[in-house]
Amino acid sequence: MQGDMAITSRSSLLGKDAAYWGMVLLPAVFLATLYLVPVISVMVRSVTEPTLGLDNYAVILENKAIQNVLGKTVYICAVTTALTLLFGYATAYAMCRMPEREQRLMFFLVILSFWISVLIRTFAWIAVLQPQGLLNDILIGIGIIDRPLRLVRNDLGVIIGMVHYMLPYAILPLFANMKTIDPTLVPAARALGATPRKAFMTVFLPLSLPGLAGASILVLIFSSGFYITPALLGGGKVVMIAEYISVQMSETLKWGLATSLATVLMLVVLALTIAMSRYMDIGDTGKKA
Amino acid sequence: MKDALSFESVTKKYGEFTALDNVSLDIKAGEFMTLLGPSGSGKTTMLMTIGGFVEPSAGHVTLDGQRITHLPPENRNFGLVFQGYALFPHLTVWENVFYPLRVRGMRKAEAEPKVRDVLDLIQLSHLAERFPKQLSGGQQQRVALARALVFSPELLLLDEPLSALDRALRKDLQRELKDLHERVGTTFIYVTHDQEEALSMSDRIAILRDGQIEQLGTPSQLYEKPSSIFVANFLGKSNFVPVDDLTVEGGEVRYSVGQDRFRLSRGDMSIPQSGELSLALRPERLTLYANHKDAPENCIAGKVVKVTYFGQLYEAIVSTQAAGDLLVTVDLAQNEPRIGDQVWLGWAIDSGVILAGRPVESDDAYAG
Amino acid sequence: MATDANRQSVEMSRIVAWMTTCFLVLPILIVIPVSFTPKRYLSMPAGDWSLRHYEVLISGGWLSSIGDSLLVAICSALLALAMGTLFAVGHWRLNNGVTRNLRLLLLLPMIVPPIVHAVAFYQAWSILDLLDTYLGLILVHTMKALPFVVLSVTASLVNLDPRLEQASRSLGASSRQTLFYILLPQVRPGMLAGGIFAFITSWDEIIVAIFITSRAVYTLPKRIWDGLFDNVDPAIAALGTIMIIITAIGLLIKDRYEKAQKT
Repeated sequence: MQGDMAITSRSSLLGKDAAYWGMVLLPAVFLATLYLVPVISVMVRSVTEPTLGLDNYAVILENKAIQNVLGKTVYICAVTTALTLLFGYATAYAMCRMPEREQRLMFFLVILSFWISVLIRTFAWIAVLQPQGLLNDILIGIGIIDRPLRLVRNDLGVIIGMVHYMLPYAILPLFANMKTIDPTLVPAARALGATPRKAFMTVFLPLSLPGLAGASILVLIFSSGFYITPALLGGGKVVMIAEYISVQMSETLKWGLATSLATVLMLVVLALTIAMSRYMDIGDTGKKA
Repeated sequence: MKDALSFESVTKKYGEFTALDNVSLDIKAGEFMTLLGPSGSGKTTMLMTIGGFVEPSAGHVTLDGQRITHLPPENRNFGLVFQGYALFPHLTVWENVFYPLRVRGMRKAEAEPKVRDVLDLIQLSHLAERFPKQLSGGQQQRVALARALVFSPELLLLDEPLSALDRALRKDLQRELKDLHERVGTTFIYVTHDQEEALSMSDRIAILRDGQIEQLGTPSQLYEKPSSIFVANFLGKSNFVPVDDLTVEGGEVRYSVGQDRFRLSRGDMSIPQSGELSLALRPERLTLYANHKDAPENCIAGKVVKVTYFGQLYEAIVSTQAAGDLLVTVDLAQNEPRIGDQVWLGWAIDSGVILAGRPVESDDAYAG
Repeated sequence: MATDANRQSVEMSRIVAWMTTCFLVLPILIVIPVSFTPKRYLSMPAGDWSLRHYEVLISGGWLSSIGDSLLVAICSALLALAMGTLFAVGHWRLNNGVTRNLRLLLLLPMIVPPIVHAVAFYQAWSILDLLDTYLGLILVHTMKALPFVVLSVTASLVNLDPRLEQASRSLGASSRQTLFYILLPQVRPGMLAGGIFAFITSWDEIIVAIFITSRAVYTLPKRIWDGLFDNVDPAIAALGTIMIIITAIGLLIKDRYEKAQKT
């Protein structure tokens, strides 16, 4: 057995491996010098500016304004992730049970929205939600309200925009995961005496849990560092960590604070990624590193 | 016939694991040689060593007396048919067959007659423009053969080429392969774990076990005169009866099973004389007799305990006092055996072989 | 098979699914009518339609921004495609502990938040004097696009039978011939997908562009961003309409192609 396996392994003694090492190392060296060095120097700067030490991190822990920004970030991320998963799960679940034509149409629409630039999508939401926007016009027009509702420049606007952006990132992996669940399992549970609710809770839900966990971490990763939508739909009133970093960098020029917050954000995201890799194949070809 | 290819004390180790253990073998030009063995026995390693994909840890491979041990695969000019065919999915049948000529610098127009000829040979000319995935398994198999033959290789290596096909198709292709071998006259080296395939197609078979050649010979030599319990067990079904008190006098061997003495004409067999010994008896060499007086000299009493009908024959299990349960085949011309019949089991004095050792598990005795 | 109770819950989730899909698509489609408004500010056209905002696109700075975006996206997509393909093929062949770790390095730009990239490259490029240059932006976009090329080319290699390579060698082909005749044709679909992904990554990239470019390099997303901040310009609606139509056509072509592949 062992012998046969060794033969099919790709790197026996075929050809010259040197060429393949060259192919691997060229992009790796490119990325190590032009990517890794700048990213690591962010971390370095966070402990050297203005003076050597962990002063910046102490500021993060003490400063009220920063605490508020971090709290807001966590709050918006949590609500966004919860809403995205709720609607994303229901959508993926329904897609799995649709007739094929309907499923293809819905899949097409989800993918379409996925590919539209985030700027165009945010622009569309401004057109819909702003005080003189479409939604307020309609509501006033049919007489439900007489003064425009405040739908942007607040948490609501940011959350609407972010859920809109994140939904495809939840629906697509959840759908891919649910498609792998044997469709005869739930009827089998029913035949064994389970109520529909019970069959769902004891069979389908547990089997879709890895997909759910993976999707939720993916959404959490993207929303924690989100910049565009909060900046535009929050209009300066709702400041999340990414926007706060950009202000430190370009306006108040507090590089020490900017780099230390960036470091914190990066470490959180990397930790989440490691957690996610337990549930999702991040593209590896089978063998985990 | 001269030797086409030789293994000279070839050893291959993967770390602690020894895939080939000091193997020597001479393959004659034009013969159909089969490497037969269970998985992990080293047969594929041997084939891949010939193909140039595995470099031996020690020893040499020679072709017409020239050492080719370190020659890269593309310079060996051997055709290789893979398990699962390895047809190039992005090329048509024609382009797949053209490929070895293309990499040798031949142009399409130049290659056209050669490709045609070999496609005619395997009767697939009408499918030349198809892609591999549009073909059936059997057709893909034939394309793989054509591709490996088109450049007139010195040897054709085949790695379990029929294992992915269903039984009926496998039978047809066995016949076709045998035909093809006779027509093209190239040396075929064939790897399989299917004993039936090996017996029906080969000129010679090398049986491999744990990286060594257990026995080498023609199909009938291996079947009739296995040199070990392993070989007797691996090729076909066999009964193994423990024997004692072995004596050899000239051309004659005498042995005891339980209380009874039996006779065996020695022929040119080498007879092991020490340690535990077994008599290997093929089920078709045993005959059922209703009366003692009809039975030959070598015979033993027993009772039929199980009968299975196979269409062309019956298989019966006969329980004996001295030799335990024995498997017997009974052809349809004889009377149908019935459970409970008291019978005599007889065998000729030139039937059976004496082998060293005892079968490992008791139920191995009549499990193929 | 489905009982009434079961069917009810499936129907419920189906209604939620369509509501979610409408939530995803309808607001985006709003930009289409808005783009035809004759007014200078964001509004729905009330009976009177106009192409004035489309005319703005082919005059003025929009065209030069489209040019900048195309240049940067094409250059970085080609660079990412070349390096990503080399890496994926090399990793597939060697597939050892070292290359598996290097692979994680190459996937990193996909995971690190864009604002961190902005901080990192603003610092580094100001030292290397690459701020507000085409080269500076192309390099960043190349790195951001690399993971997508690596992933899609790797995906097309996963199903590649390693014996095809042995088969090619046994039929007399050298390593180079095997690479060009067998390996590369097999990864072509993955390269196409990876190249498109890389192009779109660069075409849409905004956050790093905000920080490391100003006037010399002025990409389309940057112009839209500025347009959204100053006064919400309906020209963005015209541009959005064109991008939605191109995206829809692209997806339909992809659908057709995949269907044709299946049969």
